[in-house]
Amino acid sequence: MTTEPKDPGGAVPDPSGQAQISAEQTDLDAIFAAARDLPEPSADLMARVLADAAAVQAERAEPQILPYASTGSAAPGFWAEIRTGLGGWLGLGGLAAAGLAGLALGVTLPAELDVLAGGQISAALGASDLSAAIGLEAVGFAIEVNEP
Amino acid sequence: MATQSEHTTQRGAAPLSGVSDDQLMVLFARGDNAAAQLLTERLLPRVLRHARRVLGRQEDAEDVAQEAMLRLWRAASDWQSDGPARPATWLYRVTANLAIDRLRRTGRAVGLDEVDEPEDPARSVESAMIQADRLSALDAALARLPERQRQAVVLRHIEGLSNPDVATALDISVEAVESLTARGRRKIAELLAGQKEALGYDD
Repeated sequence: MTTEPKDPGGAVPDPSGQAQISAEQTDLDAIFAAARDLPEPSADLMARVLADAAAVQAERAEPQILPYASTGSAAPGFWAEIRTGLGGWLGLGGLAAAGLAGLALGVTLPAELDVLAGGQISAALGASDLSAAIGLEAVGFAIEVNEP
Repeated sequence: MATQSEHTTQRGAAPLSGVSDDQLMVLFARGDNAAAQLLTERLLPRVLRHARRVLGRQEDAEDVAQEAMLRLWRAASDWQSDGPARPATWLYRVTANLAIDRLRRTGRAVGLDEVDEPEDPARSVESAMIQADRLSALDAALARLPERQRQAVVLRHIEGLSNPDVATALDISVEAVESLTARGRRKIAELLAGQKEALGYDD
């Protein structure tokens, strides 16, 4: 859109043209005035507009109860929020499974290592000399094998 | 206040006649259908006239007027009766924007061809038709103006709004309103003068 600075609007041309301009202006004003007298809106349009009004009033009348009714149960509890944040019950189940798996690894892995090495020693130490010797040999064998 | 509650209980159009548009909006939001009736009687003619002059076609104008009124109804629940916007000014603004949307959507932002056909020139000699011819000439001239100029001229000169009210309705400065209306007016005068000659030649 052009932002032409405010101009005098043709109101001050040469004095000889004044009469014609003011005649045109009153003519234009008369046309504008005539344009104000449009026929009233049709009955059909009035009916459509009033039907819209009634529909809006009706839909406003019902939901107004909602905010009050829902405040009692709507606020989620602390745990509910945590649960939602972690992905619902399914997410929580996954989390629990992962925790258990970690615990299992922590418990079983050293035991297995013990079985491979120290477990045999501790078992052998509690048994007979022979078996202790075998055990020690086994350990020695194991160490030899493991050395590069 | 006492009169207002009296009005809500009486439920008739007549007792509400002295109530302002703002107060009617509040009553409307409370479910008063007499308020809807009165607001429609007061505002719909203006909205329709505004839309009719800007759009040029009666059926387009009726659609836009209905939509503008629907937005007014929806705005009622949040209406602040002591707020700065008057329902009438607010509606002019909404109507102006809806009309521009419609003009752009239909590709009729500027153009003479799509406007209602002027009355048959042969009948223009009949005095009864002179007024209608002048109005269709005005519509044709308005249709030739850029949208903002057209809106400003319609609101200022036909609807009779003050410059500050036009500025509010169109979301522009008062200086811009003065500039738009001056240029628009001059352009219409030129177009009407040209059309007068054309009609004389039995165009």
